[in-house]
Amino acid sequence: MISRRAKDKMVHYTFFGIATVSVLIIFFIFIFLFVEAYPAIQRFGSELLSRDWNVARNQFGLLPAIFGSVLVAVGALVVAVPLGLGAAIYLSEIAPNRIRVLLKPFIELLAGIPSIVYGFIGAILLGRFLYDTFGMRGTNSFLAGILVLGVMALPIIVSMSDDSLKAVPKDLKDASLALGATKWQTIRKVTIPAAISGISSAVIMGMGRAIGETMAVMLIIGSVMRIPVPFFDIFESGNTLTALIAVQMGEAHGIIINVLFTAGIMLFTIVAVMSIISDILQKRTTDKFEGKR
Amino acid sequence: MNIRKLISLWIFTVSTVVAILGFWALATRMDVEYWMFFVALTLISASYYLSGIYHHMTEKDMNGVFMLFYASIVLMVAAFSFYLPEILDMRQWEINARIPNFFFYSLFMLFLGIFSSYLSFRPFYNFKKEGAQMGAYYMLYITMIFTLIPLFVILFNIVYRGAGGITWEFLTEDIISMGERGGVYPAILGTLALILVTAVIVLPLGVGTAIYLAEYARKGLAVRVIRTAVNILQGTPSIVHGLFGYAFFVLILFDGQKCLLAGALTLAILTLPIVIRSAEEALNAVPGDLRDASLALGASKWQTIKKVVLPPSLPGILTGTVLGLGRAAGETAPIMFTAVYFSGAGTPSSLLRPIQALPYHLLSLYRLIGYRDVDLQAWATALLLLIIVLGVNVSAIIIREKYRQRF
Repeated sequence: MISRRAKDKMVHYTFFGIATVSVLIIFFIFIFLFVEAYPAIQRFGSELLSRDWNVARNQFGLLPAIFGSVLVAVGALVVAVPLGLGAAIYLSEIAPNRIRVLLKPFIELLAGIPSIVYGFIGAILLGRFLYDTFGMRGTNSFLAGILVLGVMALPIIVSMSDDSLKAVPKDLKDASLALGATKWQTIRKVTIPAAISGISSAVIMGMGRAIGETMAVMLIIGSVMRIPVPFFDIFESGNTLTALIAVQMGEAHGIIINVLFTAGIMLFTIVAVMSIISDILQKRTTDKFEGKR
Repeated sequence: MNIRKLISLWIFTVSTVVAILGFWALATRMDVEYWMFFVALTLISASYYLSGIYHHMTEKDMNGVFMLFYASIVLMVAAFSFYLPEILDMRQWEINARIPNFFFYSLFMLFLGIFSSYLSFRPFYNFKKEGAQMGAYYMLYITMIFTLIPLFVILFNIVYRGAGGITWEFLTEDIISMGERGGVYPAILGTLALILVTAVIVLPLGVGTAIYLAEYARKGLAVRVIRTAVNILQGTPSIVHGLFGYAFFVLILFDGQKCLLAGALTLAILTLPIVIRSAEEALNAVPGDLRDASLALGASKWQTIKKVVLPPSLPGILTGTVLGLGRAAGETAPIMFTAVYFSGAGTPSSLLRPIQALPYHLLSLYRLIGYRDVDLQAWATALLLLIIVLGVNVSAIIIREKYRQRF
């Protein structure tokens, strides 16, 4: 019969063991991606960062896809940040409780729609609409990707900014109101600056989602490995890292699979770095307010 | 209600109508002509002028406040439209678009309407600071509305186009002739099996991690590393999960064979951070007094967790798990290399056999559009997928609302 103390210790270590699984998974992801990517890295080296992609001639430059990922993510932010921030300020500062409770589930529904459904709708309705309106050469374009990803990044930006705006201590706002500022002046000059690191972490997470989104982008971006000329021509079709992997993986064999895993590593690294930055920013907000109280 | 306020209300109404017209024209690609925009502009400017007179402004004030602004817009747009051809062919600058001029006019109408209704709050409040505040609030309402518009457009289109395809045959048959007829019965069962197995895998891992973080962990390096790992995991793109699942589960564990278990393991990794976060939140919501009381009665730490902390936090844990599973049910990228085929897999019979699943079914049907007559089937699949995923989400929200604030 083991003592109660020993048993408690055992339970403690069991839970610690379970908790380390997440860390192990991260390690495993990185190691297995790297093992699969290694042949390509060894064989092509820095050629993987060139702009020439031609499977027949064994040229695997990933630059067009990297460019596409960045362009689409930045564009999505241009759409999503003004709208999402406005909606978050409305929800956290202005809306009466009744309306807030009513509207929040709708934001969650927006986050709940599967990405394949976004892609399907985007490709069939939005792609067609843009094609008709702008007289482009095809229904696929960066613009369609930007609009759909903007909508998909909205719920993250809204709910995370909403949380950080709500975390601003009431004392700060009350002090501002007591000095005779209007509610709007308080929001603009006190609440938003106080919550700014939380808001930036929301924006970074929204961008992470936009970069990592796969199915929606894959159906509307066109999967053409080419940097548009001029580079800001969002009416052209292109490719992103995620769409490249999802489209090519199905019929790929040989070295190209290893190239796709290299693309996966790039993606994983970019998004992991963004998560860490966003994490640090968020921690700064909580530290700041906990210090003040 | 004096005449000044009435005029401001009138400006607001006109501007809103102009904005809605502009939006409607954009959405339906209505052939807006230049004179429509010009009429709207003149109407709004005249109203502002009237408002200025009733505020006893001198002509100079009015020029300063409104007229200069509108005159400059008129001039700019007039100059612009003079050069604007019927269709602006941007291919001359190597940009792949030919934009008809009515697109610009309806866009102008939209922005003119929104901006002018935003300004109309100022005369309404006699140019006091409340006017600026209400104007800002109004812009925030508008961003809220524009945030919700996509949701309603998506829901409406899917229900409207997909409802006709949901028939008894669709729900109970397998695919016949590449999805032109038949239905999605094996795919529904496959998706359900997938999320069930995922739940079985993720619950112990997620809740265990949350218990460690909420109950045992002290501040230190280990906890910091675990939290960072969970955050990274939460942000990891689903396609990376798919690649990992393929490289590890399929190639190494299951000998190159796609199967239900490989898909479920991949989805478990995807949902793990969601479950951990919400479970930890639920555990933290249990007041410390309860724990202290239990410990003071001589219960061990583990007994306290088991008997005192876990029961009241169960609804919260459940909500988070269900939300995570809702996300998992709609994911395509993690399962497309690890678990699913479009047809031929049949109803799920074993953990080690491949399955069919709704999201992948939708993707495959989309790829067949244009070659086969599968449009209605695709819309119906999208509707069904949406019903399942949103149904799961709504039930999670209901659980949360029902059990919230127990302390």
